[in-house]
Amino acid sequence: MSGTMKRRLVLVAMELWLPAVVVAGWWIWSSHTTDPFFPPLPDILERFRQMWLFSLFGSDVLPSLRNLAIGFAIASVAGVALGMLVGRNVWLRALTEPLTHFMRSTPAVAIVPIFVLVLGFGASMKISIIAVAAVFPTLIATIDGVRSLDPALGDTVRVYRLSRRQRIFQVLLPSAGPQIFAGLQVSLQTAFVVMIASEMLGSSQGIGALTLKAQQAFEVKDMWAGIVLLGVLGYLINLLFLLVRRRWLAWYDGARKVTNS
Amino acid sequence: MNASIRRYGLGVLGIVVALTVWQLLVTGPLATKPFATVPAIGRALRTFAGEASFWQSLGQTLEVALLGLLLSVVVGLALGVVVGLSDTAYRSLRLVTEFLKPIPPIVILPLLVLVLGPTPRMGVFLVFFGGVFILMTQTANGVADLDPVAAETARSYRLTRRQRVLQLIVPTALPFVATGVRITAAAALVIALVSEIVGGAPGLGKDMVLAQLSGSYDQIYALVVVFGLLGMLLNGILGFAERRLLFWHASVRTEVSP
Repeated sequence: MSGTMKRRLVLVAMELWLPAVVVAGWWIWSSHTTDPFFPPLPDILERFRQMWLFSLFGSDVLPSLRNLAIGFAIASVAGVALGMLVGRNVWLRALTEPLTHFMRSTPAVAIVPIFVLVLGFGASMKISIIAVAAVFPTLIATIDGVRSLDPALGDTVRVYRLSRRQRIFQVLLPSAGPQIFAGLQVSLQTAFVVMIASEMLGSSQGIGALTLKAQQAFEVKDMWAGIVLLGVLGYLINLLFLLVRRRWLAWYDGARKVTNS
Repeated sequence: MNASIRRYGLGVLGIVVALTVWQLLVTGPLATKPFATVPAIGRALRTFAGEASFWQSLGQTLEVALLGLLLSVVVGLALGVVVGLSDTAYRSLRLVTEFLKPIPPIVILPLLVLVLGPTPRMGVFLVFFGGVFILMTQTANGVADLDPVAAETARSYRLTRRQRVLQLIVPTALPFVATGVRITAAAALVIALVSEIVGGAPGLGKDMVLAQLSGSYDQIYALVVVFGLLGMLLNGILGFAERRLLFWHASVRTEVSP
């Protein structure tokens, strides 16, 4: 009993020592260095608290996250719906294939200047560019997922004369689920990058804008506080996504575990 | 044969329809907005083709992407092999990489611009940061995927360290590494452009920002077309290379374990 306890403690220690050393090393090194670009870590954390908890939270953090959420939601729904439509229709797929691949290959950040030109710097520009940029990974993953439907499943659907509604929600969506979620994860990462880029390129509001402005004004601590917040957000958003994915695809992960063991 | 001709025909038709709709929109209801007509974009593309400065910018962008990719492959592979072979190293690095991996490079862009300035070097480092963790985890997973029977066989035949690496570890890890390289290479071009558009490093991305500032809409859209074609070309090359590599790998695997 105490043997397994000890073993578990060793494992936890093995995972934790390096992060602890990194943070402690950064703390000590930055407190002694005179390099203007690397202010003491305690100062950065103090600025972090002053800026984000919570004086600028309502004015800059919340709008960024709201744009991200709305843009990603639009992209997800549109990507899955269009993907189901195109994936099930041979003609439509052949018609749109080169175009979809061209759009997917175009870097999202390169489209931001165009959206700024057309829609200005407001929230509608940011939400639109996030939605447009994030739609393609989900769209393409859904097309692939729907296409690779097990033929036996398709026959079963026909034999049981499932209604269109049943076919979509009980057969097509679940069977393409793993691929759709893989696409959604890339879409979410794209959405996060474009959220930052849309704020950095000329806007004055949002976490990205404040961080880049701080850099340009040599407010090094403010810049670091922004980088730390964006880093933590990037990590948490991905974590949240993985939790949701695990709930929705529990049946799939479980089935895979059984076949693999 | 007939079916594939029809497929390509439909694809071409799709492009023609899209271009026509665009042309009708920008000459009709959107005429006063900052768009460019299809012929104007075509002219801008032709002008680019004859300009030395365009090719120089293209070269700068590709150079940053390739150098950053190369650096992340070398470092990612080296770290990945160490981490994949040692459980201690794997557990020690896990939290740090798991935290850094989902953070997009654009987050550390302000810091890099501050320290390195809007230079190609900054772009290379940004591409490196964007790729190294993906390659490291892919390689580590690949190396850890080593078949225990094959590993024990290698031990009983007393293969040298060199033989074990070249004939056991490399073939096992290769498909994982190939996937990592494909993901990273596609991202490298995007990140290089980010370093130019947002970070101000020289290259096609900066040319685009300059075109935006001077209101040369035809050039902006022509550059977007160039980016899209570059991305498609890159994806095509990588997909082709990976199919070749995986095909070879599969044939080796069937020989080792019938």
